Amino acid sequence: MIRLYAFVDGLRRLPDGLRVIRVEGLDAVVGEALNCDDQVQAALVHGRIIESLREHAEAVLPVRLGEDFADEAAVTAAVAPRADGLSGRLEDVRGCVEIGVRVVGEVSSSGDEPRDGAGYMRKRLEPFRLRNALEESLHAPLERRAKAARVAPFGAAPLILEASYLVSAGSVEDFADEAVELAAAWPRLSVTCTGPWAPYSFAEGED
Amino acid sequence: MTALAAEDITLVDLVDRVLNKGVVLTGDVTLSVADVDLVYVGLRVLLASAGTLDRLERER
Repeated sequence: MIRLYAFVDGLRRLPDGLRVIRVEGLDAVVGEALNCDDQVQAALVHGRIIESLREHAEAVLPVRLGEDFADEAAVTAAVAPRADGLSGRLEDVRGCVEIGVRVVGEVSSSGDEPRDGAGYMRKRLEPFRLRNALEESLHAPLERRAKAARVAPFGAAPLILEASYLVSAGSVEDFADEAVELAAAWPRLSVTCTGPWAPYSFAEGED
Repeated sequence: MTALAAEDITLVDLVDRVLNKGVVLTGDVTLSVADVDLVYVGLRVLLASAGTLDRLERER
């Protein structure tokens, strides 16, 4: 089986064991699919290959783990119908990396049980108020600094905000500095910033 | 935050991206790692880190 890793442009060095298939002007990086029982291990290998491509290419569009094909003809057949769209997306992420931000913490300011209906409603609204406040004071300024941003829908506490930002490779430090500065306004919450990653979250259109 | 905790967070973030994001061509990819579990593990790590930070702050 052949595994598809990424689409690239301006690749200066191809990591060992990989090869490039050109489909309608688009360079697809493939390699033998490794059989690995441990999915976390498989994910790490996949991630390391993509990060290596990011370091050696002008633009890289990561492919989700598990896109395996019988042969090169099958890769070509799967890529060709989307080659135009993927080329455009590859252009959008040229010279950019992804920075991830997660905000985790206790939502409620007090552990007291509400005494009446109004108190109950206020407590039920707390996560949404906190989320809105974070979107305004943390996410919005970071989004203005980024070329693009993706925010995960509000799931369950304690994960209050999870967002990814597409940032030009040269401004990662400035972006991280601003994230740290903005996070200082929320001492009760844990704000983590990870990256730079290849632009995984910007490889497909928004849902 | 200890170096180990930072590494764990990075691991969770990377695995989350590799399994849940990126270009999808065939659309029928099924993976045996539940992202819910991964996120859960990640949150425990993050919460532990926040607690560690608090303790360090108090001890200062």
